[in-house]
Amino acid sequence: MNNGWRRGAVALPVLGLCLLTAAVAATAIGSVSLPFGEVVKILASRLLGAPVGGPSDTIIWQIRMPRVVTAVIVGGALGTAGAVFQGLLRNPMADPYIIGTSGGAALGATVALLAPIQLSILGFSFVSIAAFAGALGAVLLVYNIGRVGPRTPVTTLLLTGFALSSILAAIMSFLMFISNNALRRIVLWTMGGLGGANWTQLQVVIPAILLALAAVYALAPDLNAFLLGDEQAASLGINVERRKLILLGLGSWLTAAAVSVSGLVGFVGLVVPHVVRLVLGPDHRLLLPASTIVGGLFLVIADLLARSVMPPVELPVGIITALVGGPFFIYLLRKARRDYRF
Amino acid sequence: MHMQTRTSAMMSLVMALIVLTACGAAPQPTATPIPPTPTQELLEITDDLGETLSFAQAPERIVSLAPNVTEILFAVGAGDKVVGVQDFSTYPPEAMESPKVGGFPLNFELIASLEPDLCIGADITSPDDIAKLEELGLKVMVVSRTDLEGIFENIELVAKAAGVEQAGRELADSLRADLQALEDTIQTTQTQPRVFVELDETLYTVGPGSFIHPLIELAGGQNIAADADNPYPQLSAEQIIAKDPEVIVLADAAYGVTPEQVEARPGWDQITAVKNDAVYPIDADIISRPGPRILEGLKALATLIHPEVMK
Amino acid sequence: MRNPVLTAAHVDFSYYNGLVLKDLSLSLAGGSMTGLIGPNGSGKTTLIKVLCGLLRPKRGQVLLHGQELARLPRKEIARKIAWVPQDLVVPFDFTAYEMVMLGRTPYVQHLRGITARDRAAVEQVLALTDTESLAHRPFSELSGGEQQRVIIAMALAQEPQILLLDEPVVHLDVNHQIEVLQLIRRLNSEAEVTVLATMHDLNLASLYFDRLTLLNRGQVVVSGTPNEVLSEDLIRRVFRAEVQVQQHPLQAKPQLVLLPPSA
Repeated sequence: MNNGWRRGAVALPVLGLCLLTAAVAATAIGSVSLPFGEVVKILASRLLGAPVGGPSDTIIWQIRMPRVVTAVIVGGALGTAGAVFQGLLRNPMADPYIIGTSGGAALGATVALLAPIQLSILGFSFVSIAAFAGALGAVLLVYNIGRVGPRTPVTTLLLTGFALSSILAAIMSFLMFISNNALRRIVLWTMGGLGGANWTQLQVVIPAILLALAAVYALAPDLNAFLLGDEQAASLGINVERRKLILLGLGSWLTAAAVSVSGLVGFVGLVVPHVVRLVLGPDHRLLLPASTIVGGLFLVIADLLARSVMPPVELPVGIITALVGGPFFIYLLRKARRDYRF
Repeated sequence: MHMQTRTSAMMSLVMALIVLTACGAAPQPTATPIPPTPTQELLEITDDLGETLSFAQAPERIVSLAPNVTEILFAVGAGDKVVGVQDFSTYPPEAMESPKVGGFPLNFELIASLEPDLCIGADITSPDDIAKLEELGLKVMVVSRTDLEGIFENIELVAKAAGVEQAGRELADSLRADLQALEDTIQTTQTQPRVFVELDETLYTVGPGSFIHPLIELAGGQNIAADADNPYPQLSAEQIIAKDPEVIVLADAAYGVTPEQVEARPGWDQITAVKNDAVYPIDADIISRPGPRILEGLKALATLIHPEVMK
Repeated sequence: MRNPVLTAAHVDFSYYNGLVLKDLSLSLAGGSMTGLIGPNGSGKTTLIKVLCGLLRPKRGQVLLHGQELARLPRKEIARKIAWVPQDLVVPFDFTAYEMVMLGRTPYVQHLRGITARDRAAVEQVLALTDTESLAHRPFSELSGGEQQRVIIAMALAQEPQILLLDEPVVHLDVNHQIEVLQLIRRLNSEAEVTVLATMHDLNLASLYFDRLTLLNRGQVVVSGTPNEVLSEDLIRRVFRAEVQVQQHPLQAKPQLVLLPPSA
């Protein structure tokens, strides 16, 4: 494993540095031009506990910083969840939404957007809470429907997830059709966006996601074994059904947490693990933390672009991730001339 | 609805005008042969499109093709002549009892079946729809002015077409007087507070060229989007914070946006309007319909912007 | 039998309907090298999976050192029994070294990660299987025989006492077949690993395995030395093929010569 460790020891800090740079850049750039010096001064004053105050401080600290931090944590969660699902389901086309989380979250959000309930708990709107519940509910449903006796074969999970997502999407389409006022809000939600980011929310989201990430990292060796197949993993001593459930649960938790805060941001969970695998290899002990960092990096940049392409209009970030992620992925695939095996 | 289609409606109207002028005089509608009695005068109306319509007697059955027209008809006392209204004619409540003739698109069959003597359209009525109605043999008049004096004149014109010319003139004059009084009151103010009118949760607002923008100035305020380059610009939260409005008017209150929600938005608690609790919902209809309630809308805006002079 | 390490006792197994294994009893002596032969559908693969605990018998038990397999934790089983499946689909780009390291899974603690002990074990099995030179090459680029040796190395990294292989040489060219079987025999004699392997090729089975167990329709037909098991009569009865049994020119082992029906 010599190569692997050396690669990891270099790659992770380098990636971390890129992330930090991107985060600082994203804080300094926005629809209101603030000179870089002022940005630095405001950040420093906040870190020292002596905020300067004024509209610039509000913009940097209350709008941009929570946004950037949310992008990092959501991108990280989605990137890692994507790696988990791809490994667990042994399917290179898997993304965090594949077993129903997106359908459930979208339906939950739609219902909440149509319901005249105004609620705010710990900085989370009713829509966020409904999306979170919908995502997890859908996964639970898929897992239970997909069970064949004591086991849940991977193909059944995939197909059941697809079927349930389709049903939920149909219900959601119907609700959109009969709604009038909320239609635009629903559509915007499905395109993903970081506009609602705030510190109160982050106080809950950050620990929730970090804890799940830690647990997932610890299970990396199991994911490696899962790549060989359920039976092989069992013969290697892994309690397959139990681990599968835990990993599915963690992956879904990460996805649900991300989606509740930012809507359906696509492509991060699909592309990031592949990109990392192409460069750093498929060992999950490196793949998972690297996917977290690269996922965060990707989303920070995507959000920055979303805010800067047509100022002051903020495009839904999901549009950028798809437009940027897609072609980049094609380019990488062609570059790895060797028969790229997942 | 009214406002979003305004720009395209304006463009269509301009093109229609060009086409009509190029084709020469528009075909005259054939009048139904009524033996003219010597004591009766022909009623002639020239509408905002330049078309002249003639009536042997005042129309008794009128279809309104726009919500503001509905309001005008009822306000001048011609409500009993109204046989059909456009879908979004929500005011006055009596109007809701009339048959609905469609929104976008209009229900041409239904309109024809009501056998109206006159259809009245507004700036939001598309030239295609007007042409279609005329093809069906119906008379269509269009009142499309959106400046204040234009609105008052439209009220008079519609009243004339409905045979209640006197009522129309009285209403228009009273509105003119109200406007003058308001302008005088606003003259006495010392400040011009910065105002942000929110049309939509995604922070669309009104800019130069929109219907509401000049109303803000009339009401004694300063639109923070006055420097925008289009009538309905979208702002970012950052920009709003930087511009620091002193009054926020929620024209999207009907869609469920409340002052509490707005004040809870990240970073918005630093805005002067939020600090002073000057975030107010407003009935979007009274500030966006070129009709008799426009003074009510203006006064509502002025009360929010200059509570110190408005009682 | 001296020192039975793995025993199947009166095992019944079915996937859906119909028994695939019927009242099957089998015992492996410690250090033995047994070949499991029989026609397709006789239950060979199923028996292997039952013996390593991947499938649970409907009736009967499997005993590992006298203890019921069903009651042992997965990890403990994995440290004693290693399974080499028939077709290992490897849809990813690990190096040979990384593959073999996966065999240490039963020993890796989640929070501690890979230890020096694990690395030493991997080095050892690479030497044993003569795959050191392949270690840092991508698994997908190796030849069939090399891949199979790496997979066996992965199984050996589990430090098993018992090695269960399902058709270890069926897809390989003849030279690689010999290579792999030589390796397995060396493991059995030098490292004292008990071996049970299903074999399709009866002649190879005869040459390399001390004992053969013949399976047909889910039951054991006969168990014994190749000389005892490979008789023309039994082959005709079980495989429905006409053969002539001859002795290998150099070893005292039976070899089958096919007698196709005359045209």
